Amino acid sequence: MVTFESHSQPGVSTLPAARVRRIIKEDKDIFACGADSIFLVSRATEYFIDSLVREGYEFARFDKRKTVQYKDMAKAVQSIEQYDFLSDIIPPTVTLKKTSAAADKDSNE
Amino acid sequence: MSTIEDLEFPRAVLARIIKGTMPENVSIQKEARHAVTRAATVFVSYLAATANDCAREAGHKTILANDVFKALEAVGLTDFIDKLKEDFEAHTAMAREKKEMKSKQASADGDDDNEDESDMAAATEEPKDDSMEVDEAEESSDPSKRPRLE
Repeated sequence: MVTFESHSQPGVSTLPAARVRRIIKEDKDIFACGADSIFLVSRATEYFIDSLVREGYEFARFDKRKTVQYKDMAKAVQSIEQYDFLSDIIPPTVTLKKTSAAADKDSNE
Repeated sequence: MSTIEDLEFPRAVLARIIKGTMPENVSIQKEARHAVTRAATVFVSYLAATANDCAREAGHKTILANDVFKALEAVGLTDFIDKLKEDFEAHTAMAREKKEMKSKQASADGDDDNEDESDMAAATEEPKDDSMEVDEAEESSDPSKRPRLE
């Protein structure tokens, strides 16, 4: 995996802690979460975003593009095992041709 | 119940992180940016849920710092761990300094010019990190989340 940078001072997160906490709280299986853990999850998320975007950018660069597109992100998710949890969140887009072909197949059965 | 907007990170904050990651002349398409926004929220859930499992395995209910590190190992994101350990040390040091300043302030008959606090406020949404060191269950009025005696 590529290396990453911190975008702020080490002891501080740029992501709003209250928002991180709210996302965690949505999970009813989670009983409680210490403030330190919220900070760590927040910081880990920053690193994760950094990592994900860099991977996407590599695909854009390979295509000689200076704009990172959705398909680059989808390819990054597909190509890295640790990103499997995102396969439903950033799925590869299905082309119109494929969907109409699939629809024809259904109607013929 | 929170809406999806309540659970997404603010656009400006994410834009800054994304921009900081890519070279100057590179831009990101709106759809790609939205994908990253969704991914960020899902990652928080994913990491927290995994850390929760680690906490249970370790025999406690509250997610502690070590559970988060264990969780990162469990999901294969070991690259983050070293940097995160540095962050944790810095964070712990800052919290300790703040506490020391507060107790000095309390013992002196002083004015309330706590400069550290405003730095923290600028950096995160919640200036008083210590206030979150509370059981989620205690804070919420949801009866199903109150601590149970077992």
